[in-house]
Amino acid sequence: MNFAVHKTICSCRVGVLRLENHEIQTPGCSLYSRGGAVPHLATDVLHSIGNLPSIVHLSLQTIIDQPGTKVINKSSYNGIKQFLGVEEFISYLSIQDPVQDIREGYNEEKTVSVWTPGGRKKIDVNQFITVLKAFKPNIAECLCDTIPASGQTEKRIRKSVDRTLNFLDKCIEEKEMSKDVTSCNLFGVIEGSHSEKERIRSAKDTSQRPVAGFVLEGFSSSASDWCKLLEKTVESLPDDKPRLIHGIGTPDEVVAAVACGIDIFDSSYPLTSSRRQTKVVFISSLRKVSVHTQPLSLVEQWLSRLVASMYTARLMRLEQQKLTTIKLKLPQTFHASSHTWYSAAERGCALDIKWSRKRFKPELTYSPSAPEALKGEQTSSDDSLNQLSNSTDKKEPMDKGTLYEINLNHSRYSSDFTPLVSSCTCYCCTNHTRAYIYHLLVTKEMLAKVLLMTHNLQEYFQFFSQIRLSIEEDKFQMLKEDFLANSFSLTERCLVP
Amino acid sequence: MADEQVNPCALSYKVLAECSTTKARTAILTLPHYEVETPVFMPVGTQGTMKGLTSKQLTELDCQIILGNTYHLGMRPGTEILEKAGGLHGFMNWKRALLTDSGGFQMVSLLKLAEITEEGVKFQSPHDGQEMLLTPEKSTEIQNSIGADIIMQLDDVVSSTTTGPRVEEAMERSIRWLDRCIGAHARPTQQNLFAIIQGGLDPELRKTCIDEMVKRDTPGIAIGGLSGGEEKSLFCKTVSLCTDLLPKSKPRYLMGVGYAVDLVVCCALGVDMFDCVYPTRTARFGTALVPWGQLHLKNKQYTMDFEPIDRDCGCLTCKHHTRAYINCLLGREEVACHLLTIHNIYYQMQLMRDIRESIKQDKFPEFVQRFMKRMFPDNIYPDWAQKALASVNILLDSQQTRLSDSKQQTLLTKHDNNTSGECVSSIVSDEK
Ligand SMILES: [Zn+2]
Ligand SMILES: [Zn+2]
Repeated sequence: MNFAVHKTICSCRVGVLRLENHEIQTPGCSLYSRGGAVPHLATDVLHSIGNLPSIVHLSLQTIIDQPGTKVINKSSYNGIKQFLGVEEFISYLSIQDPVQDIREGYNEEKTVSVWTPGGRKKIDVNQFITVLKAFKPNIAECLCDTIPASGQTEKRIRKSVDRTLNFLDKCIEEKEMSKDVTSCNLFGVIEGSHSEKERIRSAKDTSQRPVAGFVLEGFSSSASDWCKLLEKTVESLPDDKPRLIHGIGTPDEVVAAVACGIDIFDSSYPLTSSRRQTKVVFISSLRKVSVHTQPLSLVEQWLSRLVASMYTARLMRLEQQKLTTIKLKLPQTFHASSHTWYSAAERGCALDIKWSRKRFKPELTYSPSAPEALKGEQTSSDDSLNQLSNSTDKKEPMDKGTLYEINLNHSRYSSDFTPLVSSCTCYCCTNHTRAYIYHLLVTKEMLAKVLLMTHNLQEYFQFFSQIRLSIEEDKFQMLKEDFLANSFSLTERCLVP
Repeated sequence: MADEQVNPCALSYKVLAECSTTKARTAILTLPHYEVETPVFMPVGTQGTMKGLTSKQLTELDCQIILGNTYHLGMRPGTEILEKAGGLHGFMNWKRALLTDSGGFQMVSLLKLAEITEEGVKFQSPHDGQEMLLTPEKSTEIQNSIGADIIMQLDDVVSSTTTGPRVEEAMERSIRWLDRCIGAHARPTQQNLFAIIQGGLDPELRKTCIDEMVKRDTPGIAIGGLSGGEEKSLFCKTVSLCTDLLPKSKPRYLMGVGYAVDLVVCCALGVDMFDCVYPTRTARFGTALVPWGQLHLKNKQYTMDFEPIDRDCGCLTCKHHTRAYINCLLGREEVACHLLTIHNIYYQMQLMRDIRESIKQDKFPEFVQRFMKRMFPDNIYPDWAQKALASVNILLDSQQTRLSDSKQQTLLTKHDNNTSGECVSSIVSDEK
């Protein structure tokens, strides 16, 4: 493996990771898979997606019981890639599935627990090495004691860093002794939860070991100041090795993390905006946020961002009170219980991450006078969504997607014969309409998820190539300001009663 | 193809070849949206989609015509949206042919509260509990909005196991309803209304029904009221009687039939079109269709089976994946279901291609023998199939004749990949 950074501006950088015959442009993302398949997408559909990443992301949690090492060893395949039919990708193996919650309190001194569909499975260093031997991933995250991003005691954090370093030392030791796994590029894991001190210690100590790269675990945008913490952590890492992060995925989070110097992300976000899911989430965005000109809708949007990023229950209650006081009829999904948040994942949304300064100017995305704004927007824009929002019932509760999402479950789309995103060249947008997707969602047809995944992934991958381009063209700063200014102004405005 | 038709019609049916032994034929059925080659199997895409497959995948699978259900589509998305979208074709972006049922059968089978009167089918809306009435006129109107190439008359369906005067009543009412459908059909030059022959298992009632319906000169005719659990031999007799009496110049559609053996036998009896939910439904439960029966891929025996479902299959699934892989995904990821659906549809389409090709070469009887031999390697054929094929002059070579009238055997044996055999007779041994 070879990693070369060819441009750095402040902390953010573009580079290329070379492995076997592949070149992975960074910043970039991997292709999320679960149980050995990209959710909902058969191979032909998957390959119709543009800008497909060349790294496929497998997680031990979802493949350790099925197919498991036995099946792979019994086959004549050289590793799991062939079994899964993904030989054309570089494989990266993480320990946990990033879309599932971390379960606390199950890791031990010598073992890490993963929760498989068949229950809890304890993995020790020997088993981990066995997995590497059988699956032969090109890149593997080292065994690690990951804890959530917030609510941890200093003692627990220290233990997590110590254990993780310990796992790393043992894995390196074992790896050197067995020939079969020498080709695997082991990435050291940076822990430390919300403690800056421990983060830096983890980063520095891990850097001293012979690792091929780094995985940053335990970051979440729900933790305050996550970005600063990330910046500090990355500062303690060497420049010549790739940095991969889990748990950070929405467009503005990605932009912020890229600014800190992160190179690789996972692509679980297009599948789900809430951490946990079994079925699907799409995130459908508003081509123009300005469509949702009603103040309430922004509160809703923002609230659902909270939901997606799992804000604390306390904050949630606070927000709900606010919503109630402004007499917003809370949609069903907003009744507080983790289960309902979870079911929100099944709502179908489509991503649209196009940025333009205009789009993210707060005055365009937020207007105190809804009808006026609607009018103004309509005349100033040829976007069909605007016409639609005008023509359909204004009394209906507004869309609950986040800033980058359109929730297509809304009846306003029932006779919207425009594509999800009119400029998008994906299979879904060039062949189908919002009305059709809406129909597939209400009738609970599997094709809804197939089509939305197709679009969302393409949109997300496109987003990464835009980020790279913006760095190459020295425009990243502008892009970052757009994204961040937007999300902050939105937040502030919503918080003001 | 401006044929001289007394009644307006939106299709042409041109026979390319007829089997010199059986009643089988292959033809080009030119519909407004596609030239369909018959005999054809039509997969069922109930709500304007086929089990998670994209239109592109369906096209690549060689689906020429697919079925939509009027009852479901009329409820959701509803006729207003369908009309705005340019019919179901536009709505689901399907460029090839479509067929819709009348909605009556769905109602009777899905809704316990449905009641049939001379006026139509009365039922309670599952959405708001309101009493609704599906009349022949209403059914036709909805189907006109959906805009399929072929639409079906509303018929009075009784279970094929029903006996007594109800069968006759249903048959006669179906004729009256056909007249009302024809009267209500607003787009006869764009959509083809098919009549549906009723009459249960009673040859006299079937004859009467055919006499009357053929007089109405619809562009095509369906054989209805079968495949509802009746004895297989009676089923075949009824089909054969109908194909004998139906005009040769029009397509014949046998409703609700889709098992491989049934398809082969009924093609021999002269049927042109089939539909069935079976291949797609069974995929959902982890079953793959193969020339020697079925594989239940959820079974443990497949966890380490690194063969494709069928080594000779040309589908995407068989080209890229193994039984073990699908076994590993089943019940956990919907992709497993998509992969099996792709394979099963491919299997059905390949079977129909093989049938058409063999008729063109006038080698259909040999094809049937080979097919049956592969499906029943012990030469123990189901009695009904043997008799039905004998009635059209195909004799199956069998060691033990007529062992039982038992159900069709499904074999879960391992891949057996011989059979390129030209001559099917004489080999009686079974390998391994
Ligand atoms: Zn798209
Ligand atoms: Zn196949």
